[in-house]
Amino acid sequence: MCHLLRLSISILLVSSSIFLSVDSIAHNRSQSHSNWIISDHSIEAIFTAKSLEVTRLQTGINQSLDIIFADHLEKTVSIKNDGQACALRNNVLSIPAKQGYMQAKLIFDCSLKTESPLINITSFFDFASSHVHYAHVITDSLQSQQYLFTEVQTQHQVAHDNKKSGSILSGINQYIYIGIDHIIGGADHIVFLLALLLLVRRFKDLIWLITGFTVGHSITLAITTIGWVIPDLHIVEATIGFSIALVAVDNIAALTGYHRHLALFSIIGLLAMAATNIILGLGFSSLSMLGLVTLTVAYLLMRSDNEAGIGVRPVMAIGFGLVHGFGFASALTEIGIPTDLLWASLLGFNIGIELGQLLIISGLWLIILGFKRTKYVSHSRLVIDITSASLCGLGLYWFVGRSYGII
Amino acid sequence: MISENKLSPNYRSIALLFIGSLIGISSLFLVPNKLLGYDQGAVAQINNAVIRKDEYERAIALFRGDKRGPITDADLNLVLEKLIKEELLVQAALRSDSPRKDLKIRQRVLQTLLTSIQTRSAAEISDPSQSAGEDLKFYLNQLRDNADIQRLKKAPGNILVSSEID
Repeated sequence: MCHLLRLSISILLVSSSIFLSVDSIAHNRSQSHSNWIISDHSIEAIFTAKSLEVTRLQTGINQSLDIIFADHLEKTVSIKNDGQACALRNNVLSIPAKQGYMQAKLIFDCSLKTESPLINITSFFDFASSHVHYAHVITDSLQSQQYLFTEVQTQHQVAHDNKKSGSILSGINQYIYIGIDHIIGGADHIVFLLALLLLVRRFKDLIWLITGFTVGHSITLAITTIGWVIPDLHIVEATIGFSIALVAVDNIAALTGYHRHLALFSIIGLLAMAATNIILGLGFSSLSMLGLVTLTVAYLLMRSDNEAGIGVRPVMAIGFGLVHGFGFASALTEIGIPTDLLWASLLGFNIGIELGQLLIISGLWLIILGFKRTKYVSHSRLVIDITSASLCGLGLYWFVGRSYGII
Repeated sequence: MISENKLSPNYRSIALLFIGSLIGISSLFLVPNKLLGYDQGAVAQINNAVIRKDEYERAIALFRGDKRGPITDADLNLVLEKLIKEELLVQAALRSDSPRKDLKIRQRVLQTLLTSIQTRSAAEISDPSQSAGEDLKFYLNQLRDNADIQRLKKAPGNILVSSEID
């Protein structure tokens, strides 16, 4: 009876964690960005948002998305100079954007010889309170600045002082916030770190894991941002889901010792998916699926070998880090990086990611340590079981859903 | 008996893992269809494209203009069917790459696009000193920024024109 009750509670927890996760799709978070050019007499801005984001503004009125977007910007973007509102020249003009995105241009008439303008952006916040807007501002002296707009920070005074705005340190600072915000808002990265941490017993192992993951994602973040590689974002995001499921399966395999059995089940699942892909012409290519099968076999079987298994996790963390790095880079390239601040922004963003990662890991580590000191420590195996099962379900949800474009 | 007790947590772990995986995958069936979740204003989905409500209503309004008497359910179905057929044909044309390969279609697409930009610019720009040509230039620059353009083999200056050959 007691076992039955436990199992029921476990199922309930697993189910609720997955149902709750439906809306927390990492990377599909609500965000938009803008590029501003400030000259002595006018301020020009080009706003970009995903078309999906703009559908939030629909009220059922017979209007196309570009008109809704332009109208919304007209109401929610304003500039003040010396306390006076700058007039918007003409209407907001919809301009062409790449597929899946919307763009609009705004021009304000402002005389800025002495004052620094105050930019006020409240776009989308009424429809998505977690919305984040990134503004990239270039002044007439060709200095770049980045500003982050959130529901609680809807205004920024543009620094007109060249020395202040142009410093590399200022660029790094601005991107550190963006990096922290990205990792804390990215549910899949947090979930992956949790899956990695579940079986860690010693602080030394934790350090090795973090180092491996950091080395991996720093490499791909850098080479993607520089433009050396252009990854397919759908494959990257689906593979991030797969990495979560694989680590969760490995956690259970490590507890039970059933590495071979679980490897076999995983391969059957992946082969079934590969066959579906071939028949329906959807999802990953056969070669990619073969890669995932090989990775699964190699990883789980290597982990079953006690001697090789001990050192394999930090090494695998590098591999998983490489995949997650592509995901981080997509966020950075989507925002847009000023060429004069490429290295500063890359460094700042990476520092931000590391700080956010450390914050999350410290929090999770403290929770795990706290749990170990409670009277419930005898149930720790059950907690790992439930958490790993939930994470595996969540990882598969992201992996399959993103592979077929369902989510 | 002892070995059975030792094994039971393992079975529980595996059972939970399978339940978790099953729920994770089956949750995908609970996700609202893209048609409903992404585009609340859609009335039909044809492959990856949707027919939007405003588009449908516009077609109904046009139909109403041509028809005497009230619009019936059969009329509404007819309009929707017409839009679906149209979308199927457009998709077939795009699949066959006609807009690029067929010179007549290419010219028509190009002309329609240019007219649309110039008309929109003229309607939105109240200042006569600003020309619609500026927006076309801006539009082209935007397209260029988002495109991957590689000039292969010969730069235009190296290509011999007929007068040079002679």
